[in-house]
Amino acid sequence: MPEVLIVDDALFMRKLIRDALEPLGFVVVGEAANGREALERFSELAPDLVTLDIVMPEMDGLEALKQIRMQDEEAKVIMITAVDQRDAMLTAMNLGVADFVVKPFEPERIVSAVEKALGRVG
Amino acid sequence: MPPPPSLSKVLASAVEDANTKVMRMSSDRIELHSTGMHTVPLDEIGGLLGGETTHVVGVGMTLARDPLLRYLMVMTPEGRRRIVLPLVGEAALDDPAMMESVLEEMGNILGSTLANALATSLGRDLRTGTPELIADLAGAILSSVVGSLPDVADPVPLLDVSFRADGEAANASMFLFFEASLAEKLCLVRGQ
Repeated sequence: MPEVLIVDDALFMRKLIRDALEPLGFVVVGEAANGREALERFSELAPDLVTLDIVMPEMDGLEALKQIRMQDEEAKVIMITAVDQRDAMLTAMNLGVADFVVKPFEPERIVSAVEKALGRVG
Repeated sequence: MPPPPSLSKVLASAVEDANTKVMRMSSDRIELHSTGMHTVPLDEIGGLLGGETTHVVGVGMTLARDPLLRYLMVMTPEGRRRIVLPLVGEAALDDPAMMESVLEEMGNILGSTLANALATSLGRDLRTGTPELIADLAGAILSSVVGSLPDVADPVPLLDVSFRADGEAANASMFLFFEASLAEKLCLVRGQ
């Protein structure tokens, strides 16, 4: 089953994403609370997909995305954004992000973004 | 040219917008509504929250700097419990970090929608700060907020909001603190 790394500085958001994905068979192999931790986990775990918040302490999501994609140019990353982060979204698109989910989101939205990024939608 | 909307209409509209987001995040288990807005003299605020020695929890957020505009949402610990429960379940009630994270996210939603609504009224972009969690005696919290605000406008707009979570109500008070120099612009949008 696809393995997912969840990256968000908010404990509650990490739980929301986990609770949306696990019942459908996705395996949450790890969590990270900032970009720096995200890079460490990504290297250790080699997940199939990463969900990545933009605004985080220590290292933000855009820098983490850039470095993840440098480590693995095939890495699939979904950015979790707020609606007023258009500039960040544009940067993320140029860095090869797979999709965006605007928060707050319905659980179904994160599921459909993950499935689409993994090519599981028919 | 129609008159600008009143501050109470702007804030009520912001809460409706926040309600849409809260319902989306909670899969419709939590609703949020405003129940009224009025202004309160600064020195009477502590008494409104059940007394200055009442323990409250809440979220504060800077909505704008120069001049400073801050919002503060406070509720009782029981109110927070009622919001947290449908979102993360019973287990979270023993997890202080999770309870704080939920409140922070609620505060973030409210703060960002307030900022969007007030930005239109004030005719400028508002860059919000990060939510700051609060847990203290009502009097201490309010003193701290007022102390951090040079020349705070008096009286203070107060918006009463009600969360309805799985049939249970959790009331909260939202205050808008701002420098006196902003009062005229906000008064202009009062339209009253």
